[in-house]
Amino acid sequence: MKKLLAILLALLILVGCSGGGNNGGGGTEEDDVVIFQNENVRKAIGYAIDRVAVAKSLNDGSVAAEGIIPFKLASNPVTGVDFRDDQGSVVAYDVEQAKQYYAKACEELGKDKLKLNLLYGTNEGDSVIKAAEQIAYFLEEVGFEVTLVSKQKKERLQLMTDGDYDVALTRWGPDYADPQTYMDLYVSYNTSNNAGRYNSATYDKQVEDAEATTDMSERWQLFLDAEKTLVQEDFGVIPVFQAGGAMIIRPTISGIEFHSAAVDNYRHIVGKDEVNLITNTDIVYLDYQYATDGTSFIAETLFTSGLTELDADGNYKLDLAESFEMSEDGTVYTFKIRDDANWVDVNGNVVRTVTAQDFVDGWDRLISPELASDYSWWITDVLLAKSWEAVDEKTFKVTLEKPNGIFLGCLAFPSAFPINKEFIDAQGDQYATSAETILSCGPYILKSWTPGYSYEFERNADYYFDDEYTAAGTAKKIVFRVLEDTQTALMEYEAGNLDTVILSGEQVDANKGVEGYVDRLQGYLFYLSININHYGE
Amino acid sequence: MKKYIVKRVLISLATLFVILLVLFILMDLMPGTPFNDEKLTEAQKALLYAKYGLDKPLVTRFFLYCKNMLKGDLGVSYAINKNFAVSGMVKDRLGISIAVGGMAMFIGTVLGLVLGILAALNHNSWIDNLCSAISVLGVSIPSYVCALLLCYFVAYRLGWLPILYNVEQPFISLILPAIALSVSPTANIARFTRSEMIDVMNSDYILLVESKGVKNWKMIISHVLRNTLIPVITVMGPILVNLLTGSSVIEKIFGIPGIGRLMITAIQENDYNVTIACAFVYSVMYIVVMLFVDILYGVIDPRIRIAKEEK
Repeated sequence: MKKLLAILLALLILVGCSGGGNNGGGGTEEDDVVIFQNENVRKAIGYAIDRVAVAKSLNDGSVAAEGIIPFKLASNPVTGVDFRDDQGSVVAYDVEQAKQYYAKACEELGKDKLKLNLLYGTNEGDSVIKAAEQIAYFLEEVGFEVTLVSKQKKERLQLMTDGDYDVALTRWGPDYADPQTYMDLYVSYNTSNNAGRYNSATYDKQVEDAEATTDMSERWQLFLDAEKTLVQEDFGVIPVFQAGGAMIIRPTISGIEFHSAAVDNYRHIVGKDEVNLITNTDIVYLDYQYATDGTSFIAETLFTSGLTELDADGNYKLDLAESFEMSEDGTVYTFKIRDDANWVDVNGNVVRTVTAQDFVDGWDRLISPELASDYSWWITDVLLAKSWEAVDEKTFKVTLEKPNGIFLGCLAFPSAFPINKEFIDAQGDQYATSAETILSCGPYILKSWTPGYSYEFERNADYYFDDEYTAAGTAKKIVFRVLEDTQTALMEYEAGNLDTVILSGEQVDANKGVEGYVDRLQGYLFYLSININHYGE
Repeated sequence: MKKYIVKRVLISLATLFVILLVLFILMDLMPGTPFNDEKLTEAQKALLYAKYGLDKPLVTRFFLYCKNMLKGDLGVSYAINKNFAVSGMVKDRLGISIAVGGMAMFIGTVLGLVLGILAALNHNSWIDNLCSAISVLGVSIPSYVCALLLCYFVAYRLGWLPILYNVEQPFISLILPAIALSVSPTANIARFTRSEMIDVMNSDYILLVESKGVKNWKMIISHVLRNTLIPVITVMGPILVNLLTGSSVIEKIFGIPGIGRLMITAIQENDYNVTIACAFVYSVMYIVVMLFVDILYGVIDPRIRIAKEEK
């Protein structure tokens, strides 16, 4: 027993020592100059990186970033032109210029050499590791002394929150199809997301003005200007690449709709009665007001519905709403909910009809602090809803703060879906922990879920578009198999047991010519966050 | 003997308590929280902390956890399957891991003993060399290489067995993972058995038995094997625990929802309750198996029994 206590004591001392040490994300101790406040340092970093080479080396459909706003995120409300085409590139690769800025910075700071730590996540995919190594190489070419600091994702995020890093390779996945989803991140008062503490009164004003105006083209122009301020003038963040993702989809099936700024739509798969799809992560939470990850959202849009859904091009179309009216000033929307929209249980039995009150309950629940949802701000900050009410059983009325061009499209996001409050209350803690403890109002019913293994959907015969689905030959059964290993997944695909497979590493090259190969462009934009105030404040 | 067992059980319980405490402290020191997420604001994180009681001091949380544990409540998962009871998650996954591990142990023990005995009985012959070669290969080839080779040739090319784990045919689909897992234990047990058996066969008491004219096969079974098994059982204990608690790599390759994978994911996701539960289960199994091995010792070897009773 004494021995045991001694071991325990030794362990505690050991742990205590290692816990107190520097986490490695920090700068070198002898440096007490705030080097990243020097604009020329940031410019040197910005010009040093050959983004095209980085994206090419990833070899999975990733493309070089041209700004902090990704390609195919949002289009000009008047002309319909993509933000990136409207803006053009606001980044450049120029080694000579980078070297000049580097020399200037050294001179101004009175240093022979500038050192920096590059923080990145080790469990965020192969592409992140490769990209970090490439970026380090390009920075060293210019003269920087780079130390790569690799951490698990959770730790990387913690270091960034604590401000204990120099430069970090990080990413942002858009929440909705509007530049605001990125622009909001770098205003000086966003202490949660603006980890580098970029602080510009000009930028703040541009973003605030954009969000305040009701003139959609003025808003657009302000966002264009704001991106220039942030990226081109201040080098506040250094965009690097937009993520791709290589996969093979069996040529006989079609209808999987990928969206870079919204949830991928799996509701219209045709070509086979039973499709077996791969997913490399499991559902985290079936409660669609609490979920945060893409896998959960894809599952949730199958078994539940919102007022609208997105078509293949990302435009809204009506779903649970049969029709709607908009007031002349564009601030009041009145939706008529379909009479034939019902809640059904796991066996397909109708529980009751979907009412306007279900939306009121859902939105109230989403914003309630007790739920602590990641997307609690969806209703007020994205939809810009001021108040919402059930006029009668099937009429749902929303009043907005101001006209909102993305309102109807953003209703297709699971956070804005209706809930069946009495069911949730009755389930208590068990709600959304299995196929039996949820209700469906979407085109599919979740029939079973074995965590870590698979989950299965069957068509909801009660769904109002079921006849159309049948006529179109939409899949009757969708099975998702949770599988992390891409090698066995590929064998399983070739053996005919899976209809999709996600490729990684060398598999991408080996399968480039294969029929059904898809290079999909995702919404994630990877960039360098520069911790402007690091090295003593 | 009874007193000895009671004492051992009490020490084991105390050890488990200490392990739990250490796990708790380690979890607390781990960088980041389960709620580190790009999309969560600081205010929301604080709310989540309060919701799950993580804002309370470590000591309070520890005793609350112990209290709940006695009731079979291991808390809920924060990040892997949100709000799932950890006890249920661990139970489901442990079952599968025990099934694969058990199969692998069975294959490993039988094959390992056969190889080891064959090699020892034919000491310095070609059979011995062949068995040794197989053992060396088994120890040096990582299990995932075996797994992928088996997958490719046996399942994919020949189509004899399913590539992936299938919940509808658990036995058939667990054969390949079990074989892949059993390679290293087979080799270890074979090597150990061989060297122990050679030692025993060269010992004085076997010489005595031999000179008494006891029949060869009888001598081997009741004298040589019995004495060989004692040290072999010692190594089998940890091997068994290793196999039963799941192999993250094998589970990943075959898509098995086992506890090894769960633990790795839990650590990456900072899912406190799941990590603690998995690590604790591992500890419990280790301690139970070692206790069992110790008691088994006494049964097999009278010398140990007597020595302990004299104490």
